This record gives sequence, structure tokens and C-alpha cells, in this order.
Amino acid sequence: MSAQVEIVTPASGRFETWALASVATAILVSAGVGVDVRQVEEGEPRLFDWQISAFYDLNPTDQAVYNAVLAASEELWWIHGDILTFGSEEERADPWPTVAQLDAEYLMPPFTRDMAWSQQGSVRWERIASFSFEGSTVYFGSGGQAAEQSAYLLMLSHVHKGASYANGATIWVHEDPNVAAPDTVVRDSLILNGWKEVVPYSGAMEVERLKGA
Amino acid sequence: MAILMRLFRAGAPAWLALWAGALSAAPLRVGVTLHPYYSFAANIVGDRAEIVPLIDAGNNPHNYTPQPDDMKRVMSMDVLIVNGIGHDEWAFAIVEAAGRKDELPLIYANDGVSLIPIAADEGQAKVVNPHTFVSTTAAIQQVYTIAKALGEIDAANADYYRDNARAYAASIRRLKAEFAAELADVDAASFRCATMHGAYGYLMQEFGLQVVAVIEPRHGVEPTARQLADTIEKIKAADVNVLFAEKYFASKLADTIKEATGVEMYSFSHMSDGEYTPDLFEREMRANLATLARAMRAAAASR
Repeated sequence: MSAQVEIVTPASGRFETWALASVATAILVSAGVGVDVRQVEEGEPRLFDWQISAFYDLNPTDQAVYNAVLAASEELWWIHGDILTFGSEEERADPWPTVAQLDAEYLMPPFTRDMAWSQQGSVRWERIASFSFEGSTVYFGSGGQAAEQSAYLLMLSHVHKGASYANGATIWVHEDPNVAAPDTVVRDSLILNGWKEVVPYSGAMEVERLKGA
Repeated sequence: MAILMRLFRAGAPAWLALWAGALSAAPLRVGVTLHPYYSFAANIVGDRAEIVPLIDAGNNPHNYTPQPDDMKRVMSMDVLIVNGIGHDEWAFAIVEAAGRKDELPLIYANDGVSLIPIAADEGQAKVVNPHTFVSTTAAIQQVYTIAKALGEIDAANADYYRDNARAYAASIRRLKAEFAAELADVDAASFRCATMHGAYGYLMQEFGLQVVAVIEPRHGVEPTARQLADTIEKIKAADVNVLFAEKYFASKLADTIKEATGVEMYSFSHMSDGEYTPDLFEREMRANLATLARAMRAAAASR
């Protein structure tokens, strides 16, 4: 009687291990593809290459001057409306406040020559009346002495006169603080001459980011 | 009885018209989330609307938990003024819980404000600073935004609101000019400051001053031991001589930093404490500007 020998293969988890690894890999790959396909890009607002962000791109001095100019632009329109409504005939012929008025009468930053003005480079502001067309006007700031300071341009344009600016005010900066005032404020000309339009990161944008409203 | 009924029916249209008239003539009830918005709104609407704070005075808006009474108040509002960029997130929970999410008009005071990052965040992701109300220029912008929005809701008083907003803005500007003139002869080059809280970036920006370091890494979050050690090193390396703490929020951290660095400590108001009053914003801003003036003079004298 011969003894029969049967070799019993020990139980092994090899197959299960491979199967589990395959399933896990498949899940990871499909999840990765899904995330990649479905992800929504969020972060800095998209800008044209002739625009820069007040929030991300401006240095602290330019940011401070820009924010003051943006706040002033709202009130400049109201002053303009007051002059047109209540001003004398002579005033109505030139219905925007002068820089001297903004400094002494309205105490309006960044035009008023206070401590902030000197801390922010003592920029020389002027109203360029030669650009005024159909009620619009331009304020130009140059000669700032703070480190890496820009030159500034505030353009106030009547929307109903065919200008393309929905809010009636656009602000531009030039990296040379001593650049000469532009000959024209046509957008393409400003771009060609090195001016960049500054785009704010506004509260409305932040609300949209936070709430998707 | 029949005669009385006939008389009532005959007069009903007139009664209804009177009732509707009384309702439409009821002053607007304007809700606000933060103390400065109470002052802004009160100065804009004068006696032609009623201002209703959403939460009781004495609560800290940084970590507020909504209460049942808040929902009762929000039910009575015609409109609610909010910061909307991170300083009153609890307000949205209250509005939603009261079932008014889709029908209560909200005025986002910061809609037109150009936001800045929390100061001294170099090398890190830039985070929006929501403290636009601790300022003069950004405050004026919010006053204008609120006045315009209220004028759209209450068109009959739009001109009145706009004129009041402009007068209030002029008053805020005069306040700032008063201190700017006082500080005109102070050497600001010797002034280097840090703040406990990121609330003062807009205010400093308006005076052309920079905040070198903010101690709290995020709103209401105390730094870790490592972060605190790094901040102390940063304060020493940057030769900071002034630390602004919070007037109403005591912190042992401030004492620790003062001890480790030798900086002089002053306190600013965050404008979120005490009773809601029309003059709170100007009163607290005056106190902050006086504190800033004292700190700058002391820093200049110590060099």
C-alpha cells in the first residue's frame, strides 16, 4: 500500500490582494479623473494683459493712492452734477472741481495735501482740461517720490456719450512716476504707451466668491 | 344694524385707502449687522427711517451665535445692511433661519470698496481684510453705497439720503484732516508698528503707514508657539516700536510680546462694542486717531 501524498497549497491572500489593489487603483484613477474634469478654477480674477489687479499687483503705496482715487471718483460725479445744476453760467462751462478746490475745500484724498499725501510720495495732481469732451474729464498724478511709485490717471467719462466704461470712472497707472501726461486718453493709445488699467478686487467680487451670488 | 353695515360697506374703500396709506407712510425699518453701519445708516436716514440692530449690543461679532430674538428682529426689517465679506457671516444664518433668504433686500456695504489684503502677509496667500469700516475713506465709500441703495428702495427720500450722506462724508473727512494736520510735523519715518488683530490695515493705509506684522494669523485665531516666536523675531528684525492691541479684547499675548520685544503698546477701538448710537463711528474714530497721534509722537521722540 503506497501512501498517497497530496500537496496542499497553503491558503494565500495573493489573489485577493491583487484584486483589492486593482479595485483601489481603479477607484483612485476614476476619482482623480473626475476631480480633474469637474474642478472649477478659482482664485485671481482673469484680467487682460493691459490690466492689473489692485489687490494682487499694486504695491502698498499705489494701492493706497488707487483706493483714494476710486473713492473720490464717486463724489467727483456728484460735485459735477451740483455744478451743472446749481453753478453759475461760468461754472457750468467748466463743471469739474479743480485740484486746488479738492485740496482746500473738499479735503479729498488723494488730492488734499495732508500727511497721507506726503507719506504717499507727494504726487502732483492736475486736471487736464484739454481732454475734456462732452462733460468728461481727466485727473493726472505724477512726480511721486515713494519707492516704486507709479503715475496715475483718473478718467471720468459719461456712459451716455458713448464711452465704454460702465461705472463712469477708470483708473490707470504707469510704472514711470515722471511720465508725461498722455496726448490722448483713447484706450489703445494708453496701452501702447505703457499704461495699465487697474481693476479693483471689490466687495461685490468677494461676496460672489464667498456666496456664489 | 343693516344701516350700519351699509354705511361700513360704503366707507370701506376709503378706510382701505387710509389703511394702505398709513402702511406705505410707515418709516422704513433698516436692519444693520455691525455698530459702524448703525452710525452710517442713522446719519443717512435722519428721522425718515428706523434703524434696527440685528443683534443686541454687547456681543462680540467675531464669534457670535445667533439667538431666537435675532429672528424676530429680522422679521420686522424692510432691508438689511451687511458687511458681507467675512465680518458678519452669522447674519446670513439668521436671515435663512427666519425664512427671509429670498425676499429680504440686502445692502452689501462693501460692493464698491477696493479691498486690500491683511497686512504683512508677504509670502502667503493674500486674504481679504474685511475691516473696511475701521477707516475713513472706505467708510465714506460704504456710506455712499448705502445711501444709493436706500434711495432705490425709498425713492421719495433718495435726494434727502444722498445729501445727508455727503454731509456725513464731509464730517468724516474733516475729522481725518484735523489729525492729519496735527501730525504734519511728526517724523513718520521712525514709526514702525505691528497690530494684534488685522483690523487696522485700511486706517493705516489712509495715513500712508505700513503695518509690519499682524500677530493673530487669522481673524480671532491665536498664534501657535512657533508662529508667536516667528512674529517676535520679525518684530525685532523690523525694529517695530509700537504695538496696537484691541481696546475691548484683552489678550495676554500682547503682554508677552511687549515683554519679549520692548515695544510700546497702545489700544485701538474695533468699533464693535457698546451701545448702538449715531455718533459711535465718529467718536470711536476720533479716539483711534488720537491714539495714533500719541503713538506716532512717542515713536518720533524715542529716536
